Amino acid sequence: MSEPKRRTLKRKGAAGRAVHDVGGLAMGPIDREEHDLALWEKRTDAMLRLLVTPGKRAFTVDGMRRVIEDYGQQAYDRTTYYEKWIRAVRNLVVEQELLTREEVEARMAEVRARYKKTGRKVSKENVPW
Amino acid sequence: MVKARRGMGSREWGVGSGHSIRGPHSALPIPHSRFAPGDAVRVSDRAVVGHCRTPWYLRGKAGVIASVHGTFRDPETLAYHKPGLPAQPLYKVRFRQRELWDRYAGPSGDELEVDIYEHWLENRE
Repeated sequence: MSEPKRRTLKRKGAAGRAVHDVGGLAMGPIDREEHDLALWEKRTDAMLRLLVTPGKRAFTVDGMRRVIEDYGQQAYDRTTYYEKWIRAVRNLVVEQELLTREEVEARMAEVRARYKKTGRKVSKENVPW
Repeated sequence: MVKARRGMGSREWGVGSGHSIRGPHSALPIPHSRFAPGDAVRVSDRAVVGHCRTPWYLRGKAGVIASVHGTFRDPETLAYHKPGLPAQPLYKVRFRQRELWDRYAGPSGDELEVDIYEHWLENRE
């Protein structure tokens, strides 16, 4: 399974622009390689769709864009497509008071412990809020 | 939505919202749109804080209205859990690639079409 490259990109002449708004800047070739989707990425896609569906409308895709655009340059450049999504979904369900931050963190700890017990791979990284 | 266009082709443009689900992004009735197809416009050169769908490379650039998509809630306030009102007419605006890029190497007739909300457009001339 191919992995997208992680690097912080130079933004020459980008003064005043938001971190995502890079159209026309010289930033090297675009990575056009197709990437396989992991199960968690498909689940992230499904979760987002359910949360923004007209019946639920927990937030809008515009809200998700806003959260992603506020990550800061390094986090924006060095995270993959669905890593940006899941962090935004997590933050927005807390922002909209569907879950508390404590509930999310307790559940993460629980899942981590369960995975460790069964010998599954657990990331050491904590995704910043 | 951004679409590049090669050369000078057909001038016929359909109007379609492209949104089938009724939600914050479905087209609302058009109460009044300030511009009509063929109008000369300029993209506002203002800076913003927060979510905005008007790309930086278009700020201050001259274009022509190609079509009116409909009226939609404003993503700049929808992004902050507000109702997105007043709703904004959304236009397909056509730019000459040569107007946008200093060293554009393609044919002089090449164009770029970008969807832009009315509050980002000013009258030209």
